Amino acid sequence: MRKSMKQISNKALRGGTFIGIGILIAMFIGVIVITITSLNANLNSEAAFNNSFFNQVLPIYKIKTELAHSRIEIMQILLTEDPEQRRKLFQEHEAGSRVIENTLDAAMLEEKNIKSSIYMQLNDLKAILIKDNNTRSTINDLINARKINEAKAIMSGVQMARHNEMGNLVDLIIAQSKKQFEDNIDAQQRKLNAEINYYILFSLIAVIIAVGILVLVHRNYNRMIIASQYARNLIEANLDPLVTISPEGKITDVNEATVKVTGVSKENLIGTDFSDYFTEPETARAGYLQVFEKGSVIDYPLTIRHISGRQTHVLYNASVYRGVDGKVLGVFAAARDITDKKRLDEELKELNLSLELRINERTENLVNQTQEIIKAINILTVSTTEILTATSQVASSVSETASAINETTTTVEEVSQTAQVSAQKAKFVSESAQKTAQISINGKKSVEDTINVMSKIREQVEAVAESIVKLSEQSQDIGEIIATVNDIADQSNLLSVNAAIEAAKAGEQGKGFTVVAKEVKSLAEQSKQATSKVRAILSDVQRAMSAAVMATESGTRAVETGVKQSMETGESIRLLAESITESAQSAVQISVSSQQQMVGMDQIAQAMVNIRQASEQNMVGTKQAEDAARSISDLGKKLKELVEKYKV
Amino acid sequence: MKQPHEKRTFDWVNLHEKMKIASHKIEQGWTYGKEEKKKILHARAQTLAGETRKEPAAADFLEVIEFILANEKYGIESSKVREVFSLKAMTRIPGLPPFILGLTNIRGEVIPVVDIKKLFNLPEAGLTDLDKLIILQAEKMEIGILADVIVGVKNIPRADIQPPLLTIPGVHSNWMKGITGDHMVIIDAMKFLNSQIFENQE
Repeated sequence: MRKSMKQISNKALRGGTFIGIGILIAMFIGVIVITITSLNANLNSEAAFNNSFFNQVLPIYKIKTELAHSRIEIMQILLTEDPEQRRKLFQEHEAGSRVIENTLDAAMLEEKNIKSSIYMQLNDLKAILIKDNNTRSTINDLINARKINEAKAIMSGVQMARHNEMGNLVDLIIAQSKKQFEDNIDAQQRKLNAEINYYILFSLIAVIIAVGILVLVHRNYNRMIIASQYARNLIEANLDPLVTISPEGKITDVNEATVKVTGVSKENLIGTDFSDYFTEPETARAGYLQVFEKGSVIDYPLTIRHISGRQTHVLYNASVYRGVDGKVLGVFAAARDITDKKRLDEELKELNLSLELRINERTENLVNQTQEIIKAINILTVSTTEILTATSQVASSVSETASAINETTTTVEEVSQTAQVSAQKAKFVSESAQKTAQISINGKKSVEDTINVMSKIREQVEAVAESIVKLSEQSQDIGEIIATVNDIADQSNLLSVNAAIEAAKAGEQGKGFTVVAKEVKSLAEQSKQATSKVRAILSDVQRAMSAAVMATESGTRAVETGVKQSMETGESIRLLAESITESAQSAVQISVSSQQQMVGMDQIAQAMVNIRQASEQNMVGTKQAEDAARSISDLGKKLKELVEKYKV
Repeated sequence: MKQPHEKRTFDWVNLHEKMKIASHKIEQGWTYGKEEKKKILHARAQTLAGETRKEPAAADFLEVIEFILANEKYGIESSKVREVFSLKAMTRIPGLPPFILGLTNIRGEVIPVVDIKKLFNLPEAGLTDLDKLIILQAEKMEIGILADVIVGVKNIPRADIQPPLLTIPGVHSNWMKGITGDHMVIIDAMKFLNSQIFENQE
């Protein structure tokens, strides 16, 4: 524990120091690199700047010079009178202006920024130059045409003015270039100042970090010292005598406990042989040699000798310890005082003996008890078996009950459905009975109507019969008349015969009379035939009438029968209506009672559900009881086995 | 139950039609229409015209009064018949022979009524009218014979009359003159009237 703490602290210290110094070095290197880089950059930019300045400004100066030359040449051309001289000067003037043009082109190429004012002015300059060139060619033409004075006028007027303008422009450009140059220098100066500020800031941060790291390192160092003191104190506080031994067997360090147990001061102990302080030095030597060999030793018994001669029995625990590089430096040994322990062991032995005696006694008792327990267990086993049997029987009966309940529930449902069906049917019967009652009322009414109609029919039939009877009487009258007519015909016949006889008596005179007699006879015969026909017809009529009378009579009887039957029908319909009303009432009662039955059935179904639940609970309880009985049985068996193990 | 249905389909319309026709006919029956009257008269004229042309010789014919007695046809010479009557009333006289049924009064003349069935031993063929009386006239007396029906006067060719068979037994077979082809028994009035029975009675 102490060791590990120290390690961690060391590591932290070391790590922190290294990191701090590393950061410092890195920062210094950073400062140096940045300084060199920026110096280089400044140098380069300055050189580039100078170059660009010269490239830009020098051609303009050149232009200025050439313009001055050109002006002088114009003056000379104006002054001279010799044509040869003039042409020569003019050519020189042309060459000079071409030089100006070329230089101007170069300057424009050099000026990259085509939107800058310098470039614009250069462009203006070029435009004037081109105009000048045109003017010159005009002058040349004039000179060639010997119009010297006109050429001179142009040269002294327009051309000179232009040259002056160009000179002015060039001066302006130079001034601007100068100003730009100065501005650039100022910017460069500002940049440099900013960089210097950066360096100062960076250096300051580096110094602060370095100071912080130094403080950290100092604090870690103090903590390390405190930790090592703490470790030393712990070692000194240990009650066990602790000692470190070099490979040669010399004592290198000890704690207070060692000083106490040997009676020798620490200074005297260090450097002396380890084995000199034991009653058996050889064994001690063998012990630490063993440690070097194996790496450690545990409970190695030795006896330490005090200067006064007092001996202390100890057990040594020792192991090698290594340096930071892993090399074995020596042995670290700790001794444990076991003097008291030895005494206690003796006492313990005596106690053990007495205990053994008592245990033997107890064992005997235990044997007796176990035998009794075995008997009890046997009884328990038997009774648990019985319980098991009983519970399984109960379980089976419970399951039977459950199935019976299921069947009953099904039956109840069926009965409930039947009750529902019968309720519906009863309702249907009630409705149809009401309808039938209505129909029977209608039937009754129609029967009454029928009876009325029948009565009317009877009246009419009777009227018919009466008229037929009247007819019959009248036909009898007709018969009498016919008899009379017949009689008359008979007499006419006789008359005709008599006439014929008279005519015969009269002889020839009576011949005409004979004809008349014959005629009368024939009339009488015809009358007789007619009467006989009428009589035949009359007899037919009378037969028909008697038949009609009979038919009306039977019709009347039939009508009477019909009336009677209709009355009977009405009565039966009335009875039917009554019985139907009764059956409707009973159907309503059936409907009501089957609804009550349904309610009752529902209650029964509910009760059956409750019974089923109860039976299920019962089943579960029985199962639990069975399980309990089984576990009791198992327990009994186990107990038996256990007890049998203890049979002595 | 079906019969009333069938009866219900009775053709009342047809019946009414028939009744109408019948009543019309009855109304017409009492007086003939002009057309019918004309027709009848025309027919009679025709027959009369025919008869006159066919007038046969009187000597060849025997004029008889034909009558029916107990469903048998009889004929008697009309020359011997005074007249025919319908017998209205008859008075039965006790003590007369059985063939004389009684006496009747005709226009104040008492005439004996003879039933010839009894004379000819003819059976009483059921109930007959027997209410016609033919009055025969002889020189001495007049008698009435009963007949059921007087048919009329008939001319019979003499050749048609077959004399009665002499072999037939019978008291009064000689009264019969003969039998015609249409089974008419011709009674010989003279022989009948001049027979003994009436003389005996007298």
